[in-house]
Order: sequence, then C-alpha cells, then structure tokens
Amino acid sequence: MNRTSLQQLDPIGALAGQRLTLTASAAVVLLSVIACLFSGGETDSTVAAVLSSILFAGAAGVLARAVARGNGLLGQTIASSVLALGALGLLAAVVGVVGAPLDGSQWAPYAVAILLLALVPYRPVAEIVISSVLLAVWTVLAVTFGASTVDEAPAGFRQIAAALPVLALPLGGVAFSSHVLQFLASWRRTALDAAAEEVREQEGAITRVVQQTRVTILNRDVVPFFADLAARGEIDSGDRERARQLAESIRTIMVADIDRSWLEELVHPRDPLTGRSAGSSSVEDPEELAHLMDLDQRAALRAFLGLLGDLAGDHSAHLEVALATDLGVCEVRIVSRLGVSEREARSALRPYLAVMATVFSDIGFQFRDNILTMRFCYDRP
Amino acid sequence: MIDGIARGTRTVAAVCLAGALAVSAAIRAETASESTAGILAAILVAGAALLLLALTRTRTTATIYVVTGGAAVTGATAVVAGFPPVYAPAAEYAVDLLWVAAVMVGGIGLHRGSGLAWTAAGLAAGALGSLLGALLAGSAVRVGIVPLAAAALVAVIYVLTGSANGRRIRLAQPRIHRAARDERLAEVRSGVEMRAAALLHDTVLGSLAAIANGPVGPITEPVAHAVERDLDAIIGQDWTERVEARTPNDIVAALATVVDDTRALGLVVQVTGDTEALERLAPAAADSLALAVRQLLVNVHQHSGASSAEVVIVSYVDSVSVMVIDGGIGFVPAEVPGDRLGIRSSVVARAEALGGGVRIWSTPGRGTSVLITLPAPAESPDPQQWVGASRGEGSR
Repeated sequence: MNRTSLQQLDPIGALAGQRLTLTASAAVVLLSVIACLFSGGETDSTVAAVLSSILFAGAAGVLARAVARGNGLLGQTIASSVLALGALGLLAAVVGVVGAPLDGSQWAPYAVAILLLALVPYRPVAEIVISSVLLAVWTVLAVTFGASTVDEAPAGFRQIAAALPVLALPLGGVAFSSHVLQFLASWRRTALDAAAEEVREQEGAITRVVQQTRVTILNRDVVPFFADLAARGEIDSGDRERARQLAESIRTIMVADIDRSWLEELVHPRDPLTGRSAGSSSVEDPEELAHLMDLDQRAALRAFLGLLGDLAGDHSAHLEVALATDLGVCEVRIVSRLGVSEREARSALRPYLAVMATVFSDIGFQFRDNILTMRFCYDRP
Repeated sequence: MIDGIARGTRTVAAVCLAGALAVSAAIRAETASESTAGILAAILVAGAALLLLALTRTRTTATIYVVTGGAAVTGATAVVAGFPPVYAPAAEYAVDLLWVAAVMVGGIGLHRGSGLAWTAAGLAAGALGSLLGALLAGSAVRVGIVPLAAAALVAVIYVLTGSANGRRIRLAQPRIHRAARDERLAEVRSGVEMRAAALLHDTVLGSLAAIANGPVGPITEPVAHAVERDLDAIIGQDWTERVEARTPNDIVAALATVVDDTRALGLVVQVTGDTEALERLAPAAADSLALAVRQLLVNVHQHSGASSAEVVIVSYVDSVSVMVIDGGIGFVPAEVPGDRLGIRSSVVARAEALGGGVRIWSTPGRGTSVLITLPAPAESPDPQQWVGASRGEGSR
C-alpha cells in the first residue's frame, strides 16, 4: 500500500482532482509574487525575493505541466524536481528576504507545504512522508542560518513556526490518501471477487454457446456424412474425397479461430456461424504481440477502443491498429477516424487516457483533420 | 473522498495542537511564567476533544470539539495578553494554531456541504473566542490571518474535489469496469474455444483422416467405433461437465489406457520413470495430460516412421513432467505448416491452459522429444477433490 499512489489505484479519481492540483500550483505562484512585492526596499532582499519567486514559479510550472498533460503517471523525477525547486526557492526566501513587512521565513514554508500537498495524489504515501520530513529539516536549517530581523523569543520559535506547515499540510494529505487507498483496495477486492464469481457463473453458459455453434456447423455437413456412412456400412472413393474435403474445411476454420487474436476479435468480431467479420477496421500484428498484454492492459485497451467506436459516428471503417516490437518494447499505433470535434474528443478521451497511462507507457497522440493517431508502449515479457 | 478529507483535516489539527504545545513549552521554559499553564491547559483540553471526535464522529462530538476549540481560543487569548511583549508573537502564534485546529474540524458524513459548514463553524467559534478573550483581557482584537487562510484552503479542497466537471469522468468509470469484466469473459471464452478445438481435433478430424486415408470397402470396426464415439462426444456430451470422479490410481490407469490404445495401432510404447508422480495432478490436469500424450503418440505413429516410443515421467518439487521420445525421422519445428493443429491445439494449448508448458526438440534424422510440464502441488491433492470434481465444482 505504501508504494502505490492514488493515481495508480484510481487514475480517474486522480484526474478528477486535477483542478485542485492546478489551483495549488497557481496559489504557490501567487503567494511568491505577493511576497516578492512586499519584500521591502533592500536590494539584497529584492533580488532574493525575485529569485525565490522564479524558483517557486518553476516548481509550480513543472507540476502543472505534468498534471495538465494527463497522459502519464507523475514519476519520481518530476516530483523530485518540483520539491528541489521548492526547496531552493525556500532557501532564497528565508536566507535573502529579511525585514518587514514580510519575512521570507513566514511565507516560504507555506509555499513548500502547498507543493507537497499537491503531490499527494500522485506519489506514494511513504514518499510524501519522507519528503515532508526532509523538507522540514531543510526548512529548520535554512531558518537557523538565515538572517532575520524578527525578534527570536523564545529560542526555537522561528524553527517551529517554519517547520510546522511543511509537516502539517502534507501529513494531512497523507491521512487523506491512506484512507482513500484503504477504501479503494477493499472495494477492488470486493469487485474482483464479484467479477470472478460472475465469470464462474457464466462459464457454463459460454461453454454451451461455443458447443452449440460448433455443433451447428458440424450438423450441416459432418453428421449427415457420418450417418450415411454408418447406414451404408462401406467406404467408397467418393467418401474418401468427401472426408478429405470436410477435414480440410474444418481445419481451415479451426486454424482461423486459433490464429485470431483477442484484439482482432475485438476490432472486427466474426460471426461464428458464417465466419465473416463485420466492418473493415484492421489489425496488423504479424508478431502476435497482442497476446503479450496482461489482463489490465487488455481491459484498458478494450474500454478505449469501445469509446473510439462511439466517437467514430457514421464511419464504419474507422480504426486501424498496428503492433510492432523494437528492442524488447512493444509499440501500438492506433489510427481512428472520428465523427466529433477535436475538443469534444479530447474531453471524452481524458479519463480513458488516464487509465491507459497506468498500464502503458510513452503515450502520445495527435489530432489532424478529425483523425486521431495514438501511440503507446508496453514491455515485452 | 469527503470522509478522507475530514480525516486529513483532523490530522492537520493534531499537528497544529502539537505545534502549539511545542511553542508554549518553549515560552514556559524561558519565562517560567505560570500564565503559560493556561495556554497548555487550553491545548490539552482541545486535544482531548479532538481525540474524542476522532474516535466517535457524530454531530455531538463535533459540536463539543468546536465549542471546546472556541473556549480554548478564548482562554489562550486572555492569557496571552499578559505576556511580555517579546513573547507576544510566539504566544499569538500558539493561539492561532488553536484557532486553526478548531477550523480543521472536518465534516460529519459524506456530503461536501457538511464539511464546509463545520469548517465555517470552527472558524466562527475561533473568531468568537478571540473576541471574547480580547474583551476579557482588555486588549485589542486580533484578526487571525492564518486561520482565515486555513479555512479558505479547506473550503477550496471541498469545493474542487469531485466537482461537477467530473461528469464525463464519472461516466467513464462504469464503462471501464464493464470492459474489465468483458475481458475476463473473453478470456474464459478463449479457453473454452481452445478446449473445443482440441476436442474436435482429437475426435472428428482424426476420424475424417482415418476415412480419407483408409481402404475402400466395408467400414472397419475401429473406424465404425470412432465414428460412433465422435457423434456421441460432439452431440451427446454436455461440455460443461467436469471430469469424472477419479482416484489417484485411476489417473495412472487413464495414461495406461492411452498407451494401450496406441499399442493397438502397432506402436511399441515403453513407460518409465515415476508413475506415482501423476497422482499429484488434479483431475483436469491429469485428463489433459493423458489426451496430450495420446496426441503425441498418434503423431509418432503417423509421422515419425518409428515403430516404438518411450514415455518418461519425472517428478519435481512443484511440477510433473512427461516426455515422449522417439527415434524417428524428426522434423524442423519452425517448418511445420500453420494449419497443422496436432501440437498447437491438442498439446500446447492444453498444457498452457493449466499453467504448464511444452518444449520440443527435434532434428531431421535424429528423432523427436516433446516435454510437457504441468504444475503440481508437493502432496497428492485431497481425495475429496475428486468427488467435488465429479459434481462440476471447482474452477478451471
């Protein structure tokens, strides 16, 4: 649990909190700019205040950009960059901005605390706790060695006042995140158990359907042939040729069934009785890479392709899917003709892309002339 | 989500009270003033009310907490007014922390409005407390910037979390869950179709091949028997049935039957190794293994040109392996046409469906070895499982 983030376990929920993160980023910028304006008349303070504002704005910008793109998990590198910039901004503010009316040690810790709070949905709980403690220590050291004209009474008060927001806000976020993660894990267990139970219940019905389609096919040709042979009690050359033809026909259908991947069946399903597929969407997978996806990846892609079908409108031949491999990584390319505007498509795709981002990597997409081209990767096991 | 926010705000309250305690203790350490006892008492009372709220989240305990918080701010404000000016910023900060703790009461229940209302109540209680305290002490009324900012932060979090623009997002959720369920069902269907393909290959295709390659004239007894068996297997049998009740001895007997059937075709088959290891396999695995071995022996008879084959059974800690070896003409596995299903559907698919695997070694002119490995528990499965299997219970 400590290694899983909210975004990983509930990507759609994290997406819903995107506006909160963007608001937090804006708040950090606003706070640093206002503090910069009230930094006082001393040159050193002004330079330090401007530097501090630039650093905090940089941190907020990195965070906002990573979250707004919404097409990938927010990784440790980005989170560390945000916090590193925030830590440097705090140092510049605390050490450089002294005097009335706004001492650097009074506002900079709050900016760092907001950045930490904004990262809570995207990073594991343990990482947030460790980062909070480290940044609290950093804050105490910066405040201790930074110049200040504020009366220091009692001893240690400035350090306590500076470290408190850096601990309080993120720890509050951690409590929120832990509670939600626990709830989600419990809900997921229940949902998986229910799904497994439903699958077990349906297995009998699925078996009967599969049996019935095969029996229907065999009843057409094989059963009359066998019955005729049994009645006559002898085999002639015509019977041998007929047996050969039937075997070849059945073998062709069976090979087509076995060779057909889940992705092909999803993109253009086949009528089990006629063997014909509806629509003219295509799947190009010469190396049979679709089989290498795990259950979560297949489920995410299934949902995504289902949405593309809805967005295609009247375009029946709307989808091309191609899979290829390069240096141990499988790449999927999807080209889809859409029947809606780019704006509408982006809005509809956002939650699905958030889910795709938790199971695939390097997701990229572009719109042009109502055609969506998308790429993503997964590791070859 | 709303409940989570409430837990988060109460955690912030706890940290704020701890901070207030630290500041008050620092003041007391320097001044040794008895007035600090008043602040410490206010913090402890607020802390007790917070603990009560954390343990029992009801309107009553929330009300107690808010009222207690306001009272704590009153008392602390009145006491702080008497501090030396040098300690005023620190003391006022401790009062602000008490006020922030009152703001961080969190909501009761699952509605955003409840959270907002209680936050406002905490802010108001603190404001009233500050006013009363100032009046009692005869000092100027302070405006708490930090508590105001804290209340604004909590309000923004409540408002923006799961706001109305998440409608498209909420509509996507059930669709994604349905896709996950559909994918599981597709997986089941694929497994059933694989079994169906293996069954068809072993029965109908085999019989049609026997008729196509057999002599013209009266139907021989084996062909007539095969046709009748196939008709019964395809049409008469309920494919949802699980394997018959078997005892461990029956599993060994099933393999022996397969070997005997192959011997009847004219192939000399020798079985060596640890036959008792087969008892470790579950009924479904044992049946699949027997059918796969039969297909391999049929392949030896039909394609290798060899007159004999060896079946070797080996037991490992967590698996059982069976190897079929012949000294025939061999083949190049990569050159097997894609429409030949004997190995693919009747051997590999069966093994993989049970979590096992197949390895093939063959060189033209040097014979063929096929190794089937299936996972198996260390001990023989509970005999009760055989009875359960016969009733169609248990998973695939």
